[in-house]
Amino acid sequence: MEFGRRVVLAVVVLAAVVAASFLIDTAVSQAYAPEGGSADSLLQTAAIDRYDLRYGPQSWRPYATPIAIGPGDLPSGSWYLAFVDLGVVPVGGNPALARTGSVRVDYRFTDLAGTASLGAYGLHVGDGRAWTNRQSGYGTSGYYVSGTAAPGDSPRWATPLPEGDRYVVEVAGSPRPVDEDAARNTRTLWFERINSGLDGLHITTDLAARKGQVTETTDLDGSFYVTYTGGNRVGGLFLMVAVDRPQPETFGLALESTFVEDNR
Amino acid sequence: MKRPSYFSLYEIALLSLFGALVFVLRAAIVVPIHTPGSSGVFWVLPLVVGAALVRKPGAGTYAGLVSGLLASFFGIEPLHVFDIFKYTAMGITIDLVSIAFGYRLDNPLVGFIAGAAGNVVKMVVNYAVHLLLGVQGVFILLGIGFSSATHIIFGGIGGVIAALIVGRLYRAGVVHQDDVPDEG
Repeated sequence: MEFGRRVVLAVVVLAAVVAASFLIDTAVSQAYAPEGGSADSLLQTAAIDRYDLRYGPQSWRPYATPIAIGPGDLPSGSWYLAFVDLGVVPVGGNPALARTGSVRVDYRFTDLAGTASLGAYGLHVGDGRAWTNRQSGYGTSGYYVSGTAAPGDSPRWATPLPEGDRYVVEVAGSPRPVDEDAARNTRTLWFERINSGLDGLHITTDLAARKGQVTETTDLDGSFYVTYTGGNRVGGLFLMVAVDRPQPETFGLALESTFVEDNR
Repeated sequence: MKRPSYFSLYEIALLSLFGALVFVLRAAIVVPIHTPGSSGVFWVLPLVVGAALVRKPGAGTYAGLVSGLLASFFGIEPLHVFDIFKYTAMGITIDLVSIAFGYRLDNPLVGFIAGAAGNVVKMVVNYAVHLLLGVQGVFILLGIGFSSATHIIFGGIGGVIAALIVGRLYRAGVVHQDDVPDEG
């Protein structure tokens, strides 16, 4: 075969690979994309109560190695944890190629006893790895709310998470199973290695400071943003809510999440 | 009588250095445009140049294997030992394209095809390894259309640059197209 024909044939093969990839991509997107977190501006709401705090008491939160929940570097205290699906995802990457933006979270606590620590967990589209906000060192971000309500009884339904690098957590706010055989709405948070997955997601109160900061407040009603500074696709975004006291029966947390597009 | 080795000592040294260069470029240069396959601009360069200079079947495969071994031992990517497969696959593809076009890798069109094919095959092997390791197919396949296009474009750009370098080396007389340095 002459040289020119071989070139044309090779170009046709490459074009066919791209065409087949787009066909597969379109088919998969139509079949599965609605189940993932959305990046539209629709408001998503979630509400939890004391019975959603299903994990604990424990001093650490999930990562490749246990990391602190409260302010500071070292795990301490006895915390009860819940994971809430925010239903919206931040979008990073090249702003010329994607509609990039962050997630604004408005919260309202009712009868909060002690301190609540709010952390962000994101799932990587492609291989299921997870990100969370950095807990110590340069680039630390977090959000802590203190309340003055009297503590309630110890939650007998809560059990500590097993340590590891892969955590299967129940999504709070979803319908509670009526018996142990019923399927539970769970997600797997997998951290591949130490020092990985800590610099993508951040919690900030100011979108100009995208890498976030540590905020400690007594406002039971407020807002913050979850920003993403990586270039991959975030498939799901979860808010870890941890409290360092057993909560009273009247405890509640209402969340509203919405996608906020970056200004260009 | 000792059987002569397929690659001469000179060729092995050259290809090992090119393989190491792939790893060094991968570790040292981050392309901050957040587009899949963009680092392929640098990855395919040493493999295409190596295959063009040695002009023997297996040259790209050897350099790809060296870079894969280095990448897996240093653990710079998430797949660790499985990284060997994608780097080697890239080398094998560049070898096959080189053979199909009679090692005319100084031609920018051939360079584009070699680089684009190498980079997109690397992507496919990467996805296949993820699937074998149990990652859900939907996670892998979402976005594969855009990803394959960018892998081809960036790999192709790297291949064109490699072809221009090879062409300049030929014209400058540093290497000769007809001289195969097969004696150690």
